[in-house]
Amino acid sequence: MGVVDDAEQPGFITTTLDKLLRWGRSRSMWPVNAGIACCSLEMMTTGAARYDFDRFGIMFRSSPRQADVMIVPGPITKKMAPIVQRVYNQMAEPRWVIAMGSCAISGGTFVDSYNVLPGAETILPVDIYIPGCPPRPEALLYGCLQLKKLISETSTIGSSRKPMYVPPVLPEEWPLELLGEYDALEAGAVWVQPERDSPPVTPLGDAESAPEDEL
Amino acid sequence: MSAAMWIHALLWLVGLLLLIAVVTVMGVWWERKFIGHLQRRRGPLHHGFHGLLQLPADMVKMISKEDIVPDSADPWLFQIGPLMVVVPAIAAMAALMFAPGFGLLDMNHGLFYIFAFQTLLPLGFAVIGWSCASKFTLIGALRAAAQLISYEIPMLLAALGVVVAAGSMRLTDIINAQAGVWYIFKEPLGFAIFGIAVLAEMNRTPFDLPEAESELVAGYQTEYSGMKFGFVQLAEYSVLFTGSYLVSALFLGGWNMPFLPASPLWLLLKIVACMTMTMWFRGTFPRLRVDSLMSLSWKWLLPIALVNIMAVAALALALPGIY
Repeated sequence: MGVVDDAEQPGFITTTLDKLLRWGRSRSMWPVNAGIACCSLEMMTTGAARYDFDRFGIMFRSSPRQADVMIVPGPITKKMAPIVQRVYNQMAEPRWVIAMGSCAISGGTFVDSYNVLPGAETILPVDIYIPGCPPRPEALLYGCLQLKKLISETSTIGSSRKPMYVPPVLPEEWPLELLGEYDALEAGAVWVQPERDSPPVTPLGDAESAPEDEL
Repeated sequence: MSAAMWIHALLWLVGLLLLIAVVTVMGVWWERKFIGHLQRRRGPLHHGFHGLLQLPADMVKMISKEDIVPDSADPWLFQIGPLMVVVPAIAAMAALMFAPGFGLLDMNHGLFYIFAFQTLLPLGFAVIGWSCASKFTLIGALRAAAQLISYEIPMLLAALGVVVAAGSMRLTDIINAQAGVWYIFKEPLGFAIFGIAVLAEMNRTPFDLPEAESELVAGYQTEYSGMKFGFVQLAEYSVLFTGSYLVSALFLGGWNMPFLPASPLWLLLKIVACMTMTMWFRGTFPRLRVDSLMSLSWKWLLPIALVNIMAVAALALALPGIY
C-alpha cells in the first residue's frame, strides 16, 4: 500500500486486491464452534472474558458455512473422524485448520489406541500446530496470531493452497478396518467385537496367551 | 416528474444506502464492543482504533468467501432469498423522516407504508429457510414466520393508539404532535406493548428464536456463506434501525426535546439509545421458549393492546384538547 503524492491529484491510496484480501482474511478469522475433547474447554476460556478472542476479531460461528478456521481441539476418534471431516467439507473456501493440543498433533497419549487417529493431519490439511496438553489460552491466542501472520504473508494468487474438498476416506461410521494403516492393528486386520464372557481382545493378542513382557 | 424531483429521489436513495451501510458497520461494531464491555471483555480492540476496522475486514473477507449452494437447495429460491429480505428492509426506510420536510417521501400514510414493508420480511425468512432443504433452516424459518406474524398484531394495535391520538398517519404530524408531551407519557401501556412487539419483530433477544444459536445452528441463515450471509445481516440491522426509529418517532418525541429547539440530532440520539437498549437486552436476558413466546403474544399482549386502543379512543373523545 502506498500513498500517491506525485500524481496530478495527490492523496490517493493504492493497494492491490491481493493485499486487501490478505488484510481482510487475516483480521477476521471466525472459527467454527465445534469442540471435540478437553482442549475445547481451553478454547471456550479463550473466548470468554479473561482472554477474549474478540479483541482480534475472532468470533465463533456455529454454522460451518460462515466459519473460516477449524480448531481441532482434541483427539479424533475413528467414530468422530467422518463427522470432523464433514464439518471441514461444509466450510467455505478459504479455510484453515488449527490442530490444538498433543492429541490433535500426533494422537498424544492415545497414539497407540485402537480407535484414535494419530493426529488431525491424517484426515485434514493442518496449517498451525499448537503444542500442549492442553495448551493454555495464551498458547491458543499465540497460535491464532501465528495463523493471522501466515494468512497475511501468503499470497492469495498462485499459492499452494490445500485442495478444496477432502475426499472422505472414512465413509462408514465405524470404519476400523478401513484405517488399517493408521491402526495399532496390522493393515487389513478386522477388529472383532469381543464376546461378553470372554476376556477383551487387545491389539497385542489374547490377554492370557500373550507373554507378560509384551503386555 | 420534473428533473429536480428525480435528482432529489436519487440523492436520497444514495443517502439511504449509505445510511444503511453506516448503520450496519457501526451497529455491529458497537454491538460487539458494548456486549463485550457488558461481559467484562474489551470487544474488538486491535484492528483500527478500538476495533473500528474490524467490520471493514469482515466485509472484505465475506465478499471474497466461497459462495456455497447446497446440492439439495432450490437454486432459484436460494439465490433470491437474501434479496427478499434486504429489499423490504431497505424499502421500509424510504418513508423515514429525519426532520420536518427532510426525508425521501413525506407520505400521508408513512406509518402504514413502513409496516406494510416490514410485514414482508417473514416471507423472506420463510423463503430463505425453505429453499435450503435443511432441518435447522426450516425450523428457524417457521419460527420466524410464526413469531413475526403473531407479534405484528399487538404492534400495529399499539401504533394505532398513537395514530388515534395524533389524528394522522404522517410521521411528521405524529412527531409534531409530541412537541408538548411525548406519547410515552400519554400512552405508557402502548409504549410497553410496542416495545416488546418491536423487539420480537426485529428478532432480538429475548425473542431471537429464529436464529437461536444454542438450538438451531444459526437458524434460517445456517446454509448461507459469504456475502449472502452478509446481506441477511444487513437486512437485520436495517430492521433494527427502522424499529428503533419507530419507537423514537411514535413514543419518544422524534426530533422534539423538552426546553430545547427541535433538531434531527435528538432523533439520532434516541435511535442510538433504542439500539443500545436492544443490545443491552441481548447481553442480559435469556431466550424465551417457543410456546411461552406465542402465549405472551396472543394471551397477553393482544388483549392488553385492545384495551389500550379502546382507552385511548375514549380519552381522545372525552378530552379532545389534551389527548
